[in-house]
Amino acid sequence: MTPSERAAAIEARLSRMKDLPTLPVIILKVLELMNRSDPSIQDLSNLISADQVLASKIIKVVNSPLYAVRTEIRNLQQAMAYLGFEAVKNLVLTCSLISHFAGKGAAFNMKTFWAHSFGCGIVSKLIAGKLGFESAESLYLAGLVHDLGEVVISTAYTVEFPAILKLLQTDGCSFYTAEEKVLGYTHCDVGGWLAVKWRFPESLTQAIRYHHTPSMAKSAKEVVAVVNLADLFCRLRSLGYEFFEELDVSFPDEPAWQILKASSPAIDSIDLERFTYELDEKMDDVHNLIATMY
Amino acid sequence: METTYHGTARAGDGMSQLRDLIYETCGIYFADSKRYFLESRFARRMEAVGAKSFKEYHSYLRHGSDRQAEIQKLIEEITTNETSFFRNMPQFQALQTLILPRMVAAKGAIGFKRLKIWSSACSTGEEPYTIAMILMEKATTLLAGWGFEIIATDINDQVLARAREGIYSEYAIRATPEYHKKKYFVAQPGGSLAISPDVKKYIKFQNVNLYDDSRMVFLKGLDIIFCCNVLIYFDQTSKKKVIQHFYNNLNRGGYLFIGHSESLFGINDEFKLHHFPGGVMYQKPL
Ligand SMILES: C[S@@+](CC[C@H](N)C(=O)[O-])C[C@H]1O[C@@H](n2cnc3c(N)ncnc32)[C@H](O)[C@@H]1O
Ligand SMILES: [Fe+2]
Ligand SMILES: [Fe+2]
Repeated sequence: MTPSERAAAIEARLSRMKDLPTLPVIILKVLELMNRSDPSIQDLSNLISADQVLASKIIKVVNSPLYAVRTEIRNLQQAMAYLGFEAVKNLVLTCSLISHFAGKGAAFNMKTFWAHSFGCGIVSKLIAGKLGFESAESLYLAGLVHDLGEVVISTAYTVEFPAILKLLQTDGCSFYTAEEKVLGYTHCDVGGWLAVKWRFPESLTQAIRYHHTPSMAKSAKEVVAVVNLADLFCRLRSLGYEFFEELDVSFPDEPAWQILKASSPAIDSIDLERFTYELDEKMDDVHNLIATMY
Repeated sequence: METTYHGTARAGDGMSQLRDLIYETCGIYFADSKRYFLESRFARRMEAVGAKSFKEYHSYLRHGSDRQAEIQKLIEEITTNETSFFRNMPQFQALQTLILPRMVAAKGAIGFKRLKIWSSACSTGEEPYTIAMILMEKATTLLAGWGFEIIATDINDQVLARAREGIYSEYAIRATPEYHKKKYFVAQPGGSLAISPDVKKYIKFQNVNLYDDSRMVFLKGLDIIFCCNVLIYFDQTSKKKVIQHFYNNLNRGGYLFIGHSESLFGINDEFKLHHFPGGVMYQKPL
């Protein structure tokens, strides 16, 4: 299908759908906060304090091995002071997204989904850090939400989704390829549609729409490229979906690598093997953390 | 002045000469922190040959009439032979699902229907036998009409003898799928299992020291090389040398597997790094 045919097919299908996933209010508020010119830590703090369940989840995550805090963090103030605005904001988004969608997707293991998404956020941030991006922390969010379209497909496409899962098993292919075959469009198109509807910032929308085809991104090309690589790393290192994917990646040949190389030539000096093995430790932490959140 | 660990070891006592001799012979490098381990292993061999000091043992290894055999025994004493069937499952999955179909397509196109695979530090044989089982599973489908040959080598004659014998404990086959256990093993009295002769016939066991240039240059025309969990005992320089040989020994487009968590970063940049789910492999460019 051409891009406009895809858009039309999705519009026709999703716009008449009654129980489309909605975004939790708190996320809308955080996104709103981000759009302000100088969001204050107090605003964020007020938002979180209004939801004690959320606040306690955040404290739990902050104290997990992933954040490697030296002394236990007991309250929101300490967390803010220790991690800073960006990181806490990302935690708010992570925790509320995960709990909001916890019950959804009966045909699909949501724990696996969020482990992949969460892992992708973390790896995106790590790659951005390696490349010396100034806003490495903001890449986290792009990684976290990149596959949101999959939530819709797994919940709303009750007839087609089992066929997609079947293809993954028989062909050892990716969701992207299976969706192309079964639907003619993918979770990228669906997620992109949703991101626009939800008024996500443009870089997130691009990451959602083009993370499997990074050269096609219209803007925020580097964000999209980082998320593309992070997604590959996660699928290669035990944070993919549950099926063995016949995936063979030579990173320097990836279009995303070439995109990033244009602005960060240092990318070629990354010790890829070491990076991969370091990720493995993080992946274990991600699995553990997700297990505690469910 | 070197650090000493107990009374008998002093600077210039022959320890470092022994360590150098090991390095020159097989590429295995022992850091100072391994000194205590080495001393205890030397002590066993020294007692066996009646050498009273490290110096004396060193000169025995350099000039003794029986020096070749003694060096072999010493190496057997200081190497780790730990291995098991299906030790690194993702690797074998990549072999089966990614590499074999690709090689069959590429080599089949030029009508050369043979595969040559080398398990280069095979220890007691678990690795080459695992490879053989994987190929045999494809013998009537993907590999129908193909010939394959597995060369399995190690520096240690004792482990090679056990590999040829092919008798294994339950422990060695702990990661083996039930299906393979039933199909490729024969139960022995006493609870151990023997690898079936059908599997054995694909494998040629030989003694090859990876650090011996004169042997390494003759292993040619390989499609896939496994060199797992041995180069971790080498230093950068000796690793480089071995890896360069592997590169030369491989056919264009051939693959090299190394152990889980091992790396060729800074060792060789001619190989192309590939990631597959759960591991990495290196390809000689086409
Ligand atoms: C830990 S085992 C690895 C067995 C198997 N490849 C695996 O991964 O399970 C290491 C083997 O390397 C062999 N080895 C050590 N130095 C060697 C050398 N210079 N040349 C050939 N083999 C060597 C040892 O004898 C030992 O059997
Ligand atoms: Fe995706
Ligand atoms: Fe993904």
